[in-house]
Amino acid sequence: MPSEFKGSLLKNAIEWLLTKCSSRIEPVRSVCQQLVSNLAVWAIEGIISHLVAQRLCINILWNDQAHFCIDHVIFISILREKFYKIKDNKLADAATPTINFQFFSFKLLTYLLLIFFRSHWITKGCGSYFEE
Amino acid sequence: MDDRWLEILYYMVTSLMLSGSDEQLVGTTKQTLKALEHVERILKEKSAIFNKVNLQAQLVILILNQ
Repeated sequence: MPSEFKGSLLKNAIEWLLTKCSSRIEPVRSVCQQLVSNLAVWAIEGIISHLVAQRLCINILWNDQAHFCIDHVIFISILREKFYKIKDNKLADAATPTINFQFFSFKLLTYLLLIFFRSHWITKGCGSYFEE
Repeated sequence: MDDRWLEILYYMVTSLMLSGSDEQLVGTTKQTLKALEHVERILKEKSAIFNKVNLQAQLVILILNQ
């Protein structure tokens, strides 16, 4: 295996590819972006793709490619859809439990914030309104 | 064998980078892109193999390194 790959899985290859997405050579850049989005969406199980998407977004901003940004939005939506499908079917990659944890904690945080703001609005918001 | 496909991907992308300085008539870029398309198709269709850790291959590497 090439020493630049930090592992022997497809996700490692994609991570390496991402480093090539900011290449100055146009064909390399476009091919690399296409490869990353195709492989991350269709070939990787689990939401390691979410991290890939984040890094891809950084590359897009750096390269300032508007047309690819549009594709990127579609890309993200497909990834999310894929993630939830995988989660429901219990097919999530065992190699990426941290990502699942991230999503779980994000959901938990959203619920907590929602509960906090609701209680805050009921106790403080309405209270202050009636006091006035 | 699955490791080799990732290796091929690596060399194809590297050769694409190198072909940037070649003349179009030589056709290196075109051929490399064609090869990359093929590699991509294989990685997509046989993705289950490439997402699993190949313990046998890792053992061979460990033995060879020692």
